Amino acid sequence: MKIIILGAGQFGTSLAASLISETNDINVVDLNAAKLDTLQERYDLRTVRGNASHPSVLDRAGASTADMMIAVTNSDETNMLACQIGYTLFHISTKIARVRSSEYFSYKNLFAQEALPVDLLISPESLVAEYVERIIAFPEAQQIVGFAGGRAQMVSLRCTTAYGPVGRKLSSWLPDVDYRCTAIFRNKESMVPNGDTVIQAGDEMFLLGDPQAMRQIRAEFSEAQQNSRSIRRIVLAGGGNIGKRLASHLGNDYHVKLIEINPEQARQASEELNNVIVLQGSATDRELLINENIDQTDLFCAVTESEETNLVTAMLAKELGATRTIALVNSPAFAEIANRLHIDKLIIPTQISISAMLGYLHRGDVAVAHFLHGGTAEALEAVIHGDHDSSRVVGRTLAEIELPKHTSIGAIVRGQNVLIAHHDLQIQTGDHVIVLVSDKHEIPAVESLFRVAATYI
Amino acid sequence: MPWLKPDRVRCEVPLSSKKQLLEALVKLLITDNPGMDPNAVLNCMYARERVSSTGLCNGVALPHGQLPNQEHPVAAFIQLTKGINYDAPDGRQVDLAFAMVIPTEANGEYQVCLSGFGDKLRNADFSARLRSIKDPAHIYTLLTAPE
Repeated sequence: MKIIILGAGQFGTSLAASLISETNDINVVDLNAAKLDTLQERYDLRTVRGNASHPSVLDRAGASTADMMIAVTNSDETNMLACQIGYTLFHISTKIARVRSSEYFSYKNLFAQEALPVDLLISPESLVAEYVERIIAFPEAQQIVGFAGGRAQMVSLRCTTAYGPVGRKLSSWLPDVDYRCTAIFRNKESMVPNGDTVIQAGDEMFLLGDPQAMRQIRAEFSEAQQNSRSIRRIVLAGGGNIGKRLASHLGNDYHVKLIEINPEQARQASEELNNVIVLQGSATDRELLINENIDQTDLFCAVTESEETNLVTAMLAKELGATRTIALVNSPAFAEIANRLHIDKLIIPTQISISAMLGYLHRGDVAVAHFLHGGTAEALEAVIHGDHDSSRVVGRTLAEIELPKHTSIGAIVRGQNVLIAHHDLQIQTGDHVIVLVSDKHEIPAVESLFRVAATYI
Repeated sequence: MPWLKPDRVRCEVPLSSKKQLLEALVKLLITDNPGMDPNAVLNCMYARERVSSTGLCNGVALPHGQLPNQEHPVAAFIQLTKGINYDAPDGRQVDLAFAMVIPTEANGEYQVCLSGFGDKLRNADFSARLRSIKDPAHIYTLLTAPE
């Protein structure tokens, strides 16, 4: 695929790094020559210096042959305009733009094909807010991701010896809950389990079900773990865009305090947010944290603009007794450090945003895709097209479908219903099939499986 | 294939990408069809490609799409000077492309026809002949000849 990335900032750079492959041809546009030089030294890609919304610059970047444009400059307006130009002048089929200001999201028809033709809008703030909400719903999970607009969810859980399912057959664990274990990672090897698989300590299980099933699994899981009560009290550090968005999402359901160092921003946040206690002060201030009963806090979430501050405050909060801590960082390089600092989870907005566009990077109609298990596995939501003649899966039961290795179908979302995989469940056109691929080399084979005949209208 | 017209056939066209090929096909398709919006034609073909590539085998592609308010299908053909990446099932590059715009309201009426025509196009002997001819009129005759 020929892809043009507009903007060589943190996001553009991470994006370029994760899209580089033998089959992708990448061109990055930015005004800053030094940033482009660094990129070119590190990666096999081409660069063009210039204004990302100028037609001549886009032309030099190969817009006339590009399949996809991803506009992630620091300016919302440049990103939207570039998509418009990519559509009108260069007929680029897929246009993705990062738009930060919530102002633009309030008007739905703004991004229609005949208005501002953007196929996918990336709003890092709302993606981060959704991500944190999912963590709060299942804090013990290594990872929790959604499919089909949240109708289905997949959670990954690590089984410790202290925990219930260890030593049991999968079929005898939670027999009354409608879920499916799509894969188990054991000693760095992945396996597709069946009902007779016995769960061992150290296993990482990938469980799929609807939100109701997830609540049941969580209840069972947290009961077996000490220190694992539900989250009620939340402290947020940082009253910027992300902090305010999070506070307003969480304020109604949880007891939320927001700490902001800047008096003006603190005042603003307190005016905008109902149901949230806004405190003006530094989250690195020990006294402040102790006075605000940090030891009674179920979740401490550091989302200031400085990633170093976030790491330090999260560490401090943990030391002072917060049950769980989350820190926002921009660089994936911090992931390992966070582990040593005993920070429970990291929010990496660039990674969250990249995963929001993964579906578009697959061959065929993939609505959503998520990297799992540190990127070695991937879960796809494939949209089924065709009929019995033009598709290899339509009209076949799951038992009849020969899946590639290391691949399992976990569920089918049909309309509003989540149908957990079962050998006599038949695939229909229009279904969204959730597939877990635990070895990424099998992805092309999975994409081929869902292909329809070239002559299918 | 009654929907092809002689002036919608081109030979030895130098193009370097699937996108350029689709754009060139759209230009041919709207010839004699002033009512057709080129953007709408291109978008309907993109929409079909997103579902799954229309690459047949043996270097042939059959890009198509559905467009509302058309009386009948419209077809065009391009022979390229060299192959381009098209994500075909056999992995081969594509240098022959037959495009068709089908009325949305037809409800599957043309499915059998398109499937049959696809079989003919992907036939190794037939595609080799299409490749060897460098004259649009001759290719037109070959494509529209009865079975």
